[in-house]
Amino acid sequence: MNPIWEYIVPDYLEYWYHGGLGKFCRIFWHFLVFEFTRYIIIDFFVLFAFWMSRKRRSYDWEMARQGLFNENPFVSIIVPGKNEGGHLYKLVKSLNEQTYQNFELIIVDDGSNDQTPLIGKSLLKNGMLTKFLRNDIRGGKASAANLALRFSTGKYCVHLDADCSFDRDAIENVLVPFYLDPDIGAVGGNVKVRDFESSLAARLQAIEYLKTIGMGRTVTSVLGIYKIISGAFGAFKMDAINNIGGWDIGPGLDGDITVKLRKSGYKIHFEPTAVCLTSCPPNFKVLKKQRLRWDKSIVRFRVRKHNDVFTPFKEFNWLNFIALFENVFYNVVLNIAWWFYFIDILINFTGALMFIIPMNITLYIVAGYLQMFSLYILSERREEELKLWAYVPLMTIYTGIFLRLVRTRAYFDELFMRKSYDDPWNPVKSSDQAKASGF
Amino acid sequence: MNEEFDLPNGAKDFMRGQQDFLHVHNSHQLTESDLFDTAALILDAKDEQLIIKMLKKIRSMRYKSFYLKPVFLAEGKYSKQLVSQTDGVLYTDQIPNILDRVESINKRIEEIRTVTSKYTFSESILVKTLQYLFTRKTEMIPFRDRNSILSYCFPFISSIISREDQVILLDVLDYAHSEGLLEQTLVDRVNLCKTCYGTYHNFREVCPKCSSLNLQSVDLIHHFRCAFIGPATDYKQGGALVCPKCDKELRHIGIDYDKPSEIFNCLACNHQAQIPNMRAHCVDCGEENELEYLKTRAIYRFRLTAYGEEIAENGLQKIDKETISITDDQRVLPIETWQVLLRQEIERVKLHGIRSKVISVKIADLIIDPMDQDTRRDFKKEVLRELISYIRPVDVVTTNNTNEVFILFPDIKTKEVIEMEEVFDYNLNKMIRDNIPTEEEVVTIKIFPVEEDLIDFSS
Repeated sequence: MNPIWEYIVPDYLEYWYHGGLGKFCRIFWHFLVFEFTRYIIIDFFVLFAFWMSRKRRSYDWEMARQGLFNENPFVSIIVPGKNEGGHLYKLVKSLNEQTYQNFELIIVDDGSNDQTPLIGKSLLKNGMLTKFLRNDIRGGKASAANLALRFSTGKYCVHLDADCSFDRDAIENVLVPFYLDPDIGAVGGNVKVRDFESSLAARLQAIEYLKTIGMGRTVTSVLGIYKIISGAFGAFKMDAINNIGGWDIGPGLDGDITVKLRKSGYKIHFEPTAVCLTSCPPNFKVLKKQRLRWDKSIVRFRVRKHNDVFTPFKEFNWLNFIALFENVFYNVVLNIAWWFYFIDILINFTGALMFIIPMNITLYIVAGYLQMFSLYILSERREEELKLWAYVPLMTIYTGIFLRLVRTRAYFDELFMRKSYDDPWNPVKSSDQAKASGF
Repeated sequence: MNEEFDLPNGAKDFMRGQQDFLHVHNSHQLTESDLFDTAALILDAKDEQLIIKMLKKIRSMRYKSFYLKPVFLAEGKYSKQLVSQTDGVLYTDQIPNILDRVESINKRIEEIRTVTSKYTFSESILVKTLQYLFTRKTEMIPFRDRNSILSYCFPFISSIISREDQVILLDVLDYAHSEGLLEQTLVDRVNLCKTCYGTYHNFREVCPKCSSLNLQSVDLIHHFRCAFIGPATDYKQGGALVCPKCDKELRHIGIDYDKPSEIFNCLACNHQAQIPNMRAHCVDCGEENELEYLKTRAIYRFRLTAYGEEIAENGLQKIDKETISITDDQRVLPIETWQVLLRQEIERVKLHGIRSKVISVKIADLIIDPMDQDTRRDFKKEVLRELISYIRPVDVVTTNNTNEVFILFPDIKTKEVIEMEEVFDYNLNKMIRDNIPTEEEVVTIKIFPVEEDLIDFSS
């Protein structure tokens, strides 16, 4: 007989049966208290309420949609970037297919050293762009976006990344929420991975995007604590974004501007039906670099720059407090706490690791499939996304080990060495000034 | 009447053999009878325009012995352009060389067989160019000339072509090169106005929205600290630069801020953009040319090939002009060869009573006439390719210099030839109408029985 079935499985079952619920909670308190509660119970509760309200929302949506088309506001679509020339034609074609067409398209070339200027000028000459602006000297993503903003004339500004493409109704759907609630100052689009079948890294990121963006942001938006509009696809009221002076120096400028808008009193909305497909890092090496940058920005902006939301000044706002607290707590604090938990288990349950690790993996896999099931119900791409289900078990390693290690390294670098100021993503001249000014 | 050459410094020394140099002061002296016995002409007038007029009269004469005659300028100072149009200036110290040259030129003129063909304007330019190069044994090197619409003139031949027709000369020379008559070496490229073919342009930047010239350029300023970027006018407060986003004063370029690019404002329509449109304003006709619509033409220097020499000596009737270029397909025979086969077929029809037919396909003038020479040639090739793709291996094709193609179908049933006519009609109509939308009739196709009259008809 197979030794697994003869010895290991009976021992495993006996361990958890005799240990009881108390032992189970003692060992998996981290999972039960924080992750299961937050990402399963709260998310499911909110999503269920969201799903139940679909008829009312559908009516409101239709009214808002009519409002949008009755007013037909002029919209400025801005696309800042460096060396993005290869994506521009596809981007323009994707925008030409949009159901909402009253827009200008402004591309900013931030000091590209490839064929981007030629491509941009050619598209401009052929009437496919409204404006093509170029900084001969690179100024960084924020300055490029601000340059586009400076020459935008629309009532709304839609910020896109050049390597994205859009569902036909994406622009329409990202604008409709402004007519649902006049206090909404910005709307985040739903970003999904386009080429998710190209590699394992892409598949795992696709699952991650579905969970953290498609599901996570829907939940935070319903709760009123949505705090990051992806740079890949977001819409802003022009007067709102001008009032806060546009984008500040990154990295992490998309999260930064969302918090600035929240602090200025605007509501931020996530719109899951405004779907944008983006390309993602094709391998784990590139992914690691991207995530180090993103994770450092959480410390730099959430913990340092916007720490005033945690202090009870006269402009204190509970929702802003919760939004940033949830962000910092679940990303930074729990990530650090997990290592203490890990050491605790290693020391106190050394002999039981052969039972704990499989149970841990099982819990995360079950949780993962529960999340995928709720996404399946809400998704407009069910057939395609079913292909990802086979990879859900690997998410335990991806998020539990890979992303956790990357995050830990990023927090350490930023908390103790302020490494984000050395990131070549920004030009040195800007990083130096930001560092000197304490941004 | 010849005027004997009588310069004070020894006119008689210029005489050699039977012929004299004719000293010409005005164009009235330039009659064919006066030129008949002269070895060369010496143009002597103070006014260059008058000399140009005389040159044009000489080069435009009907007979080779007149229009090819060596022409010199009397000793004096002339523009480089004028000298280039003649055989040079008659400096006293160079007289022995000049006499040899005149003799050589005249000898070569004699070698040219008398040509009686009635040439078109383009053919006449071609023949005269070849004959000039043949008699002068030289290269034809274009020279810069501000007064030429092309900015370049060619020796000899440019003097007989009006300013407006200079482009035709380029077409003719290109054609001569494509036919193997001339070798060419690139000298320059010129950009021609789409309206008048002028090359004298004023290049200027205009607003892409309203085409106004009234543009004002402004630097863009990037404030490093807060990432704001905008025109310098956004920052100016009194004499200082103050960031409109964060209210900080910008003190030091490279540390506080930089100027990554500039933007222009159109003072006519307030449009702002970074890339103005560039237009070429034609000084001659005033046309505002977009740069991509300027027609670029290459200017070459030319040398006569051996084949060109043969044509220069014997005239154009030696070659079937257009057929040379379009008969690269061996199925297309020269008209003379085709007529020989037609005669044989006529005899076969008479002897054996077989039913052979000829189809003529004529493309309407309204299609052909607007085309330039190159396009016409390519078009004709395309038509021939189309026709040949449908005929049998035994059928033979020819084309004359008009827009007509003849196809001989030996031993063919009437039904088959009618089907063939329908196929030609449908496909040629489709081919032409797809490219040139018109309601007019574009192709005329006729079927003829093989008989004697066809020989004359196809000629």
